[in-house]
Amino acid sequence: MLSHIDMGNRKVVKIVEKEFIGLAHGSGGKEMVDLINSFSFSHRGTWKNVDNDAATIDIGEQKKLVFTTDSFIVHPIFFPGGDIGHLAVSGTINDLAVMGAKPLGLSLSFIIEEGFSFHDLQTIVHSINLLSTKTKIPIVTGDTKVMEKGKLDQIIINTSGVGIVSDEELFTKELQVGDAILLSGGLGEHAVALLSKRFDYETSIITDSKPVIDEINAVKKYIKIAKDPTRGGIAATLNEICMRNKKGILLYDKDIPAKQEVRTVVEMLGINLYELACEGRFICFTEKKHAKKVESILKTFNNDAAIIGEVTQGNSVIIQSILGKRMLPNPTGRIVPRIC
Amino acid sequence: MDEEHILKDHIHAIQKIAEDIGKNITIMEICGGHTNIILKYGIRDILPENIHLISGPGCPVCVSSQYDIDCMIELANQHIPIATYGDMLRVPGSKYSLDDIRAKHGNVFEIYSTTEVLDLQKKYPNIVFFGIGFETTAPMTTYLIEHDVMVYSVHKLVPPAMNILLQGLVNIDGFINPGHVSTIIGTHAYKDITVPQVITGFTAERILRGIRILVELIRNNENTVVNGYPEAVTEQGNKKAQTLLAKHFSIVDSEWRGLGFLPKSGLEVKKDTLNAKIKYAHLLEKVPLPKKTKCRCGDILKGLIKPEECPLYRKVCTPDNPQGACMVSEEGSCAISYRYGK
Amino acid sequence: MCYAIPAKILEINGETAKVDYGGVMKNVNICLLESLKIGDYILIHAGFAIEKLDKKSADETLQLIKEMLHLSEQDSSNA
Repeated sequence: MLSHIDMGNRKVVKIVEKEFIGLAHGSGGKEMVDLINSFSFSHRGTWKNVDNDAATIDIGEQKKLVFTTDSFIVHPIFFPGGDIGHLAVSGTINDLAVMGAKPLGLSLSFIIEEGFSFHDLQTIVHSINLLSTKTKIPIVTGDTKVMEKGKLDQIIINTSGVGIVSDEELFTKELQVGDAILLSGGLGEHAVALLSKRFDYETSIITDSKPVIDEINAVKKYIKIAKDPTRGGIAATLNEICMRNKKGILLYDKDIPAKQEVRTVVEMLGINLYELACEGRFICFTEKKHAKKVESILKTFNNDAAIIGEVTQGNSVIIQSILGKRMLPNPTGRIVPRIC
Repeated sequence: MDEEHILKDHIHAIQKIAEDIGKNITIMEICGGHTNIILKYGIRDILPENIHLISGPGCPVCVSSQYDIDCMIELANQHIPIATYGDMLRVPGSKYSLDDIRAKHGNVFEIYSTTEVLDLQKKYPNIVFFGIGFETTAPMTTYLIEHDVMVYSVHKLVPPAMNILLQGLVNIDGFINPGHVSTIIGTHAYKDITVPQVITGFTAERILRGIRILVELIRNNENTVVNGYPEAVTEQGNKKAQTLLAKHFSIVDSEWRGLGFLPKSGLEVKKDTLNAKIKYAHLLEKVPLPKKTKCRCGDILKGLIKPEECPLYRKVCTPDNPQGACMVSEEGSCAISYRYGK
Repeated sequence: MCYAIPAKILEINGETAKVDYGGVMKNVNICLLESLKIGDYILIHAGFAIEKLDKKSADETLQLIKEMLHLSEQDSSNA
């Protein structure tokens, strides 16, 4: 529960009734947002978009520097279709790409548990190297630390990224009622690939983790806002966009793409498809008149890409299904299979 | 007929039958899975005005007593390893939740299936399983008892609760019976309940179809149980599961949150050496009875009020600051209402 | 969650069966049922099979219900 403390000319949000940090504070849902808001760093300089996927600062000539960071604690570290290294690089490239930025370089920090397999580390480094080479985005600085055995779960990776974007191309344009919302591919594949080890099932689904920079570049001129629905899925992402833009969103349930196997796992585990993390997908907002064109371009990259909704008045996310409308709230807690 | 037509056909038929009935009728559903689908698709909103569909105590987390929850939290706080289903972790006790104890001590384990508890038992031989759930889940707990895992049981039985609800403040004209509880206990277990009932599956179409059948039975004064989920439910139910339940559990009076002690409505572990309430009685006797709060989960579970009518709902009680189990459990009426924008 | 979903038995190894949920494979415990064979469809809840799905008798019952509903619709429209 939050309460506001008035400290002169600035309000500080204090988290009360909590003695310690819980897993929910890192899950991408409401608790995490509230926690971050409570930090309330007072000195931001002239940086903008500090609550967005990447922060921006003017550097003259109508250009902005774009800066982002992310830490990766995924478990298991090797999963169907990828590993923590590939994920770390894709994730940070995507945080820059969804701002409209051209990535210039990445930092890479490892914190490794004593006793971690050298071979596993080489595999991870190899993944990172491959992706960096393929995307022509260099790893330019970094750090390596080792902690005593038992003090850390295998490995944590942090990547930060720097990019550049012109004022005109920055994806923070104002939304209008009627703007279309598109999703670049099927939901939930990364989550389902990851959960297969935890819940011991076999599936052909592999992670969707990859940089989305090529797709974004292909439809760049049509994009007003873009975001990648990672932790908390499209439920978290779209609620955040509603809040920031003071608009509502209407989703068309039957048009939201997800592979059949993903839907099967969702039923089997009793989890919410719209709260599942994707690591190689993005949502974008375009003017209605461009929607079909953007959809057809995105379909050349992934046939499941689809128009999934539109911007409305209001301030919440509503889903339209066969029987009527219902709200899609901001997720809270963490993914929890349910019982009867 | 495509799905939309079938649904409209059901709705149309329900409207006609409701007109025939004329007066107000109340039907109750008592299954967390059904509650979720009803609210997810806004089924309540499309029913005729004189058909009141209310949610009863179908969420096992919601009906677990505050005292039992406090007891399990106390065991965990005393560093005893605890395993339970994910739903239970965030339920607030009088002071902490199991999630908080996990963050503090690390000895609380979330499982998806009781088979995982056997793996945990190898590392933590004194692990205690917090057994929540109705007749669907209680057989999975017998599996643990067969493997010498200690259990704190708050398992409950649905038909006794249905009978008590019929004697309550709200006139219930018919029930939508729980789907998978019925798989275990069979349709014959409901024969002494003297109102029309229907058992349905878990899609919007199945539930609407079930409501259509139920209002028809009510109109015709037919006090019978219609099995609308025959692929999963038989008259006798799962005999092997029933045998295991009888082998390992005694039927006892049980405290249901908000309903009080209901006679012969709970399951208690027969074997004393595997009953955590007996083994750890010396720790549990220190657990005080919970204080009364303004939380109205009890009235919500009885179907007396809707979540929106609780004074705490949305104002104080939200998913990230839940005051009671109905908000914490994902199947709780308040959590589901909140999630779907009521 | 009350959710239990059907799956087809692919292999049986003692009290465990490998099942196919339609592309997703998992091992589940079958100690609550008897006389299962490969190819049977079972309903699974929290990692345990709770019922064998009897498609034939289910289809018959569902057909009866359909007919009943059709009749009741005629009733209502004749009233």
